[in-house]
Amino acid sequence: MGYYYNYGLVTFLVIVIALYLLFTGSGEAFNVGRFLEESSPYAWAATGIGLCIGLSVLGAGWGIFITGASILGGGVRAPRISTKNLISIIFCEVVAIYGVIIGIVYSAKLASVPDDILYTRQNYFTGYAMFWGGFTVGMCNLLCGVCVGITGSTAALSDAADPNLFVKILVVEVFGSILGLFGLIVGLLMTSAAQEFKGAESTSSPLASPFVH
Amino acid sequence: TEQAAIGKLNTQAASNGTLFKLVIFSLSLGIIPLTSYYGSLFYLWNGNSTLAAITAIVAANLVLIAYIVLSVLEDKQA
Repeated sequence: MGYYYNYGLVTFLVIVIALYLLFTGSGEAFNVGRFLEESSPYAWAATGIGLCIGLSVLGAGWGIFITGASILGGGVRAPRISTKNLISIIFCEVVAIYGVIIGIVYSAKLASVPDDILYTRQNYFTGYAMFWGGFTVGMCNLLCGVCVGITGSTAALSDAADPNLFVKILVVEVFGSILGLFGLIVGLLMTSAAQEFKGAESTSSPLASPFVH
Repeated sequence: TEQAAIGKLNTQAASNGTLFKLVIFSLSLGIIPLTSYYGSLFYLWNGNSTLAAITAIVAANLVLIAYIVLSVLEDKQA
């Protein structure tokens, strides 16, 4: 019960501030739509690309250190496992390569557009699609990397005990690595309709949102 | 002794190039998908980046399958 004690202060402050805004008549200051419309599409897109490669590398690195520790530990008593189990390490690294490829595909859509003609409907869509596509690919690769890492670590230890088990556990690793592929397919589908950042055709037509000035 | 056996296995692994093979495959796992992405983007798909990304993914998986096949063959030999 003592672990969650500190959350009470933050919750209390948030509730007091929210009620203050509500009761003094400025309750519309909390405006999600305004935040979405006035934040720059570049911020969303660049954050998506960063999350994509960052989370993918996190998953791959996590998998490699789990597998590597087991291979090294098991290799003390059974030195023959150390060469064949490098397959598990390569599986984890493929996950990082998926993240790099999606990062390259997305960053090709970033183009420099001046501020006053940036906020068009297509550019908003591109920004949001790249953010959520990058986040999707990153999370899928993170969990895929952890999955392949733990399976690879167990493969190394069971190979040390009984060499016939390695090929069977490799099948499980193949299934785990397909998860990263699924995330990548969905990420590509999400941004297939997103064009690169382009300026508005003419400044006389009003931009998409009255909140941008 | 056990340590002598491990030392012998290490020199054996170094002489038959297992580590070298791993380094070559790791580098090609990075280089081959990226070159196939850029190459197919301009010369095969006329700028459609989704199809070029799929080409790169297929290339990465081919490198992976090649490594697995070579590892299993080498293990059967030993």
